[in-house]
Amino acid sequence: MANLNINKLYGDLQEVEAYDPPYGAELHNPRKIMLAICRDEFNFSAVTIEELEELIGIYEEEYDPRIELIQTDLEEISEILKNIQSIPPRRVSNVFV
Amino acid sequence: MFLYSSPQFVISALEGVIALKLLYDRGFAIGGLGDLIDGFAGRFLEIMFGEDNIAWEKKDIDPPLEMATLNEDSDEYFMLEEYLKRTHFDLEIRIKELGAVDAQAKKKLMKTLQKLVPSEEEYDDGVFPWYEYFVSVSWLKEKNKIVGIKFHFADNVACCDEPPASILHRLKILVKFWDQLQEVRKSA
Repeated sequence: MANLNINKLYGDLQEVEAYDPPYGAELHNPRKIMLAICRDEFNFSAVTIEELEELIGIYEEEYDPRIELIQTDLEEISEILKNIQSIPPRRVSNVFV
Repeated sequence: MFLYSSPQFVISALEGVIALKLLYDRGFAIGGLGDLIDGFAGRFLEIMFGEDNIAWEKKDIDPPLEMATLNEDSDEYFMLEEYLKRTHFDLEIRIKELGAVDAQAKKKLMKTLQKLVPSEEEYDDGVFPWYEYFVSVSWLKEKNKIVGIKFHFADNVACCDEPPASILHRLKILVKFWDQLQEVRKSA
């Protein structure tokens, strides 16, 4: 990991929240919920039952292209986070993780 | 890992999130999401009723006598075999609040609990449905006093790269039971 560009990764991480994925606005909220679950940062007070049921509705359409869009987005984010988390602690003191 | 799970497992995990959200909205301490892929019903019950108040005891189920007369290639024989292969439990849940509930209110509560158990009309060719969990429900009694509820619970495990059958709709009934119990306690 010696060649990691910390500034780039920090920039990537900052982009995660502001990221404007290439799909419609109606998927932004389901994406946020999935991201919170995957990052183990789920906030029960920030989500309604209806929003969770809406997300289930998307995944019930098994071959729905929206699933692939969300999953691809989350996988890319997961890669960024994995790289950041592999940085030795003394090098991440100024980076939000 | 959740991210790389199939849509069916994602749905199962999201149902777990809903189940925990239902408890959260009622003031229960949830902690984190935990491992939802491995099932959440046991954790749900522990949060709702308290870990110390729940006892799971495995039980053996004898094959019904009629099974010996069935054709081993028949659907009914197969379904009975599958039912017997499931892990069966006596599930006892102590609920001390029931002690202060009058007989009329207890009747209403048991009516709600009975909705957890499919009627015989819903059985599949006379066999308990593979997608259901609660085979029977009754009051848990000690010295003739009602101290909780008792279930015959048939566990439903994941098979063939699919998650176990959904249990959320049954957990919502338990939430309704809990809501009714709180109402009864307030008016007592």
